[in-house]
Amino acid sequence: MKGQRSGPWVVDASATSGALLVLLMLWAVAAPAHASAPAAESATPTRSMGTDSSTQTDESEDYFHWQTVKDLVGSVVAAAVGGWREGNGGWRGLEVGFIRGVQEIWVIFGPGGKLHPAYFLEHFHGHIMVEGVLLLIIAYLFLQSTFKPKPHREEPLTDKEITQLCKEWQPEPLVPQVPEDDKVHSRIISSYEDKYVVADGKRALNLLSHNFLNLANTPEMLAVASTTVQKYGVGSCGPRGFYGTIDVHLKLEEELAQFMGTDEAIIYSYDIATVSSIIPAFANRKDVLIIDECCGYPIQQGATLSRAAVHVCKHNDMADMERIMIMVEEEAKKEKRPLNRRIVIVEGIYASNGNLSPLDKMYELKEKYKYRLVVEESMSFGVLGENGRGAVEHWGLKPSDVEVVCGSMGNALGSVGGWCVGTTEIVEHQRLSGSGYCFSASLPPYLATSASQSLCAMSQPEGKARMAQLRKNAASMRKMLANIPDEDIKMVEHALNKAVQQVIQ
Amino acid sequence: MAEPTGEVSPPFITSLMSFMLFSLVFLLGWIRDTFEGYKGTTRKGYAPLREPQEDFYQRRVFSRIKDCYNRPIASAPDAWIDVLDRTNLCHSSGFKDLKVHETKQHCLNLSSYNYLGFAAADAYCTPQVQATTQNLGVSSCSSRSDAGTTPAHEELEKQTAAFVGKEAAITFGMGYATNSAVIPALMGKGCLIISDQLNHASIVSGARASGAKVKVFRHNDVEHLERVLRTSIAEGQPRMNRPWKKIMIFVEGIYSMEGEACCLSRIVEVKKKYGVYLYLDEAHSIGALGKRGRGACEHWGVDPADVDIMMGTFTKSFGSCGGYIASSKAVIDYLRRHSPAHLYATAMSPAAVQQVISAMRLINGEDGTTRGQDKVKQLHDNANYFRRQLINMGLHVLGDWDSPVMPIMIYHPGKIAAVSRLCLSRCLAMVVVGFPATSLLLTRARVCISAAHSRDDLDYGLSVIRDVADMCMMQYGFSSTLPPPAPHPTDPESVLAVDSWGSYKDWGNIALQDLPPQQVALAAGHQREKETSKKEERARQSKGKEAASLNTRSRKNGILPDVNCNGNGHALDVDSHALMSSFSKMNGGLGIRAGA
Repeated sequence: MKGQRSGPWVVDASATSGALLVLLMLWAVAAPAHASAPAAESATPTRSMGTDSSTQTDESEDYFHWQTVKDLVGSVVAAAVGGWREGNGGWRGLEVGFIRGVQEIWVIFGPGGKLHPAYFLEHFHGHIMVEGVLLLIIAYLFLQSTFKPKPHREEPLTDKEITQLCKEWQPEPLVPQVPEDDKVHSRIISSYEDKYVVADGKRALNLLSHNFLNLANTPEMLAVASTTVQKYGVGSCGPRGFYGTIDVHLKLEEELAQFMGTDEAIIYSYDIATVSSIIPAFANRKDVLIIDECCGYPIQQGATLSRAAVHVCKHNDMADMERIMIMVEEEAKKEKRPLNRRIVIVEGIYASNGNLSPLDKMYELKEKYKYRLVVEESMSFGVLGENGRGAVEHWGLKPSDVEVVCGSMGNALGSVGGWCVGTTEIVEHQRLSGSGYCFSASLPPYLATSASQSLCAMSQPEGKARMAQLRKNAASMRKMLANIPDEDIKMVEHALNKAVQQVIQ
Repeated sequence: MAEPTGEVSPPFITSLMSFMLFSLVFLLGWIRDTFEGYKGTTRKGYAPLREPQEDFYQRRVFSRIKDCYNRPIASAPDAWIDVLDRTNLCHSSGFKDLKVHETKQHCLNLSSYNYLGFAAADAYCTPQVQATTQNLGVSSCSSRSDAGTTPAHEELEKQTAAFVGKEAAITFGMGYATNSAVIPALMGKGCLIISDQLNHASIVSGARASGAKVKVFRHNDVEHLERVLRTSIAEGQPRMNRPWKKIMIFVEGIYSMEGEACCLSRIVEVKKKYGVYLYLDEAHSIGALGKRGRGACEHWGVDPADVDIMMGTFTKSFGSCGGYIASSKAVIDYLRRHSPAHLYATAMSPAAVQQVISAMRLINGEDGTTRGQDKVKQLHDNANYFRRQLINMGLHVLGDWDSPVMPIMIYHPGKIAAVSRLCLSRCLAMVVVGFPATSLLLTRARVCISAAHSRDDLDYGLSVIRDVADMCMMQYGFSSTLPPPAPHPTDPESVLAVDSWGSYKDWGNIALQDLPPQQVALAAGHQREKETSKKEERARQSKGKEAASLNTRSRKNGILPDVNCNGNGHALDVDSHALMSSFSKMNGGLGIRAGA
């Protein structure tokens, strides 16, 4: 029975407080009778010996007056001595004295006496005090949760048994063996010259890199990077908070904000840490997220890390999104939840399938149901929109219409890292709450200056020409791929299958 | 064997004062909010962007000391940095209220993780980095699995594996992402993560994202770790009561906010006894610990084979960016297939890759000199010298010998701003850390020592710290429980090491007559300098900034003798140690160069 609490102390709090309430009522009824008692009994002449006069005359308001105590002791002694004398020093006299003493005490403690509770009640607002204390106790007991005995626990394991269990335990291998044909063998790229790469020693057209505007690795950028490395070294050797903020970071942030037409911008040192830090900074357990089912890994991780309620909506399906929004609202109403943060998270262009998010319709929805919108523009920045500001511009929205816009510097900007733009409040909040920003070393300065370099090129008219060319190229490639006759595709499929079978054999 | 330094707790009066201070600050903030009528910028019908308490804390509490953080610099984070001046505009919103100016201040840098001094341009590394930039560019704009793998990446992974003593390695472009993207790939539902209480945020977020159960053991307490481990194995998974699939212990080589090295050898014993896995985060210890800079394993004499996953970053000792995981070939193959950071994130920039390769080559001595090894030795000498002097000053310093990170306990949160601003006004850039990064009462300043610091720099830093510690009353009267530095377990010359440490105590007692004549003259010169500068010192205290920048100028112009550097400014002999130490003793370590 170890660990189980039992015995007289296990009582229901409500029963106790009920009992006390009854007690309080009884007290309230009984007390006036007591209070009136001294008035009735004050006339009874039970005083004896000379000492009692002071007891009567002393009407001081002090309850525990020293005089009262002295009187008490004095009258008892006097009664005893008097009795002793009266009985001529015999035992009987002492008996009489004792009885008188008791009488004396009764005068003080009995009804009408100074140490009788009724006296206290009458003279010192005692009534209110006692009732107040009782009420406090009742309130305290009401506020207690009902005590429930814990379920019976089993005997704890002995040390020997634990050792035995530890010996028996066998862990799984750290990782399962990766089958040979499932291993990732990356091609080794030994050169990136313009649109070509040398992959595994072969020169090939580069259709892998996200270098959309061909601004990465231009001679100008390489020169800037080399100069920066000479001046600032390679790494920044510290997080932004602790002397890791370098002037080139501030410059890039300013330029980004200017380019995107927002109040402020913030840069992260890696792309997958960007959105996965932003989401937990703006959402926690109480909040609601709606993410598109085709969102990539960083968004998924961010949603997991935030611990918010995540609703996945069908890909680009606004009706489904509205359904979720209505559902969330109804649920909140039904359960009378306090207002929480609600966020929709989408990608400008989905990295997994190349589709665009219909931001115009999404904007209407999010305004209607009071959601905030996070757009991940890794793939759309520098690609969509007249000025290359991305999907927000493409769909004709103002920069202020979308709360958080973020993306990677590894694509159109041709550098490495992540960025986010928004209002001052949005950005400054991340500087203290974005864990990938606070707890990581800042972006190497040369990557910041490289990004500055391409941002500068993008805002030039020549940059706009590049974007136009990119859109043209994309459209023509799309057309060409669509025009491949079905039999050609089948032929390729057949050839591939054959090759796979050969490999298996 | 360094034992855990035990519970750190502030003196009673200090904690009382701290609570009073916080009550006052909160009360004042509340009054201001009430009478200034602060209204958030939230749109109607939307929940506020920040939690009300968080918002209040940032506007009314943190904004008071905002200028102590995020100070921008305009130079490489080397031994000396140029800190840009800022002015406070005092907006009630607490946002954007620091204006950055063009003017800058040349400060001694005791804040960057530039342990081996690779932060600035290096005669060996930088040309190689620039050459790689020309060949492979700044960025491949592609993930590692697509078109981001260059010969440099391949070489780096091979070299890293060899450097830490493992079979294979995989690299990522950011240290934080290494942890937060690899842990979910390794651990999952039904697995147990046993993590040190003070592990870095990246491990915490990785563990949280993995979906595994996380249990925490008391910081560096191996007995507690064992207790947690035993009960966990015995109990199995919660509710299901099935045995755990995998259990992994997560520790760091050096804890960045404590400066303590984890008791790796004992943790490895426990790990072997129960057959669990061990994940060692060497973000701060790689390059910094161990005689050859190979990290915690070398420092503790542990076979790297006993550590299942060795993680580390290139940001600190190697002066680059990114992180690595070194382990068996099977694990690395698995990570290449399953880690999202390998599949989706932009590959590490080739220039950053080359910086690490060159730095490692230098440490390995592949450039044909001992420069790399000298750097490691210099780092340990610097760190131990600085730690000894701080302890002698009566400051409460956390951490272990050889660790380049040394937190100095401030305790009282009200002193954060004072310490940071006073140091900056005396041309010293030092990090101060308070709530919420540490607990409310364990406020601290943190010093990071670099091999790039000369003994002269360190003495200057010490004099400023002594000055500031006096003004801020930071000597709390803790006696250090740190035993004298232990010899390296793997060091065959450990006897020699003990001897050289043994003489440490006596450094302060070297009399002038024991020194060679020219050094006596030098010392006497310093003494005179100090006497004549007393008046100026007073003036300096009132106008600290100006005078301090004067110092810097004079040190730049070479007015002050550089006694500590022999030749290349790296290796130091014991004589110059002794000399400098005796200088600092004679002058009380304060204002040596005050009036120079």
